[in-house]
Amino acid sequence: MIKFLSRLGKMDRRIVFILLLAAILIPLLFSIRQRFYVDEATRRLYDYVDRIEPNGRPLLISFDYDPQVAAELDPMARAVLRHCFARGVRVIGMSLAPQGDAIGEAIVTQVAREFGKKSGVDYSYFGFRPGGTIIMLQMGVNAKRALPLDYYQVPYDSLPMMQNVHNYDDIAMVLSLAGSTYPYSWIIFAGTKFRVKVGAGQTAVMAPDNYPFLQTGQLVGQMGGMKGGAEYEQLICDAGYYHKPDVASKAMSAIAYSHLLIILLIVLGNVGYFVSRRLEGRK
Amino acid sequence: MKRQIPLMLVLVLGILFFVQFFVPSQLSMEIYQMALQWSIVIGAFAIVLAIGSLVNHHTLKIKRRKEHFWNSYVTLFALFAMAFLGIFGRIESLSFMSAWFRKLFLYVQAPMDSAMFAILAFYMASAAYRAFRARSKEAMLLLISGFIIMLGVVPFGAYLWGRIPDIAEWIMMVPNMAAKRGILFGVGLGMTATSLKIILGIERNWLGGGGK
Repeated sequence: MIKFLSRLGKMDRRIVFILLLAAILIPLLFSIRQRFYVDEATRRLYDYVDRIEPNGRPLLISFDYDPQVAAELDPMARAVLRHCFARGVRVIGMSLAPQGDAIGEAIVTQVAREFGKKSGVDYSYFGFRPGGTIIMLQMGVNAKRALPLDYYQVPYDSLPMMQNVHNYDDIAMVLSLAGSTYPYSWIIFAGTKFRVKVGAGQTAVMAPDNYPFLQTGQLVGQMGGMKGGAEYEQLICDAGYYHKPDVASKAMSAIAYSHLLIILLIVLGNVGYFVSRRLEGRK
Repeated sequence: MKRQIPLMLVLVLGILFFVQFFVPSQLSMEIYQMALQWSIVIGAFAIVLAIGSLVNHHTLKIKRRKEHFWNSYVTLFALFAMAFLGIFGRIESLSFMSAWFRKLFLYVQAPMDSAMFAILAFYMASAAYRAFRARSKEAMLLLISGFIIMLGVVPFGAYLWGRIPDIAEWIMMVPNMAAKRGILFGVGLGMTATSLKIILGIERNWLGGGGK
């Protein structure tokens, strides 16, 4: 028995991989869904978007991420877009990451189609803008210079919804979806300098970095990882803005079971470690 | 002169834009706007340099028949094919190229990138199993807080005990934030000190090693 317990700390990594694969696949295949606790940061973001006046100042969503983290951030983008379009809030889309360009376009057009929204009237998508923080700064002075043409090469002046958008004063909030420190830059260069409200959607790894900004109010709210996306999906469904939870809610079950498995593995590893240490001590 | 001119430019522009931030007059705003446009143009040159460097690296690899040199053919082909489709797809009569560009990105590049990232989950699980040992009191504390956070973000936490999500949130909002804030202050002070050193010409590493 003691020998068996000591071996628990030396499990072959292939077994770990197979167990994890099962913990992810089974809940996904059998669509096991659960309700969960909604984080304060997500609720604050949701409440802010919910207070934006329909057909008033638009919400700017910056798709600052690459395909690597799309699994976590795409559901957030879709949930926020559905929330906006269901309420009649206009949306400006753009990207500061080169690969975010096509990701953003695919998501914005998909959700716009669901709600029958028109490009240039209900939303405008500008695609990738090179320059990073320079674009953030320029938007504060002259949005037209920062975004001269939309993704489909339509000039800024020909987009009806952009007629009253001159700088951040005419934008309700900037929402940066990123797997890196883009929201941090938006806080510094747009939020602090031009006093525009900033929200964030971050990967689970990056989300804890933003807690100081949530406390100071420099971030309106934040969705953290797959859970943030799932929480937002739950909130818009509960409020009746959308009929069913999407991918993030489904994926949360896989995450829940994989977390449990990892905790179990760590416990087993520690049991094995302490038993083998005791055995070595006896020798 | 090769070093003096960049140093002088950095000193003058550094002080100018420092003052500009605090004096937002019409003139200073115009200078600021012009500088922003210049920065975008200079940024575009960085892309040219990056592409040049990438092409150079892989061409050399192919010429010297280095190990796995055939991967360089794939890289170069992908680079030029995507650039070709992306640039010419903007022409109205060649819009089918734009559709191809989009398809290649969404159905080839995006899944490959996502798959690479997804593999990390398996390594992380294996590493957590092997490395997280309660060897000391500090390690034990880290383990317990890790367990609470992991349980707090999934529905099981609340099923086990209703207060686990609250405790997880408290850990994130108090100890985690205190540590993050300390780090942020350090980073901020470090950035200020480094910027001052660059503006005043004390820190010169950014000039590179070539020329006198």
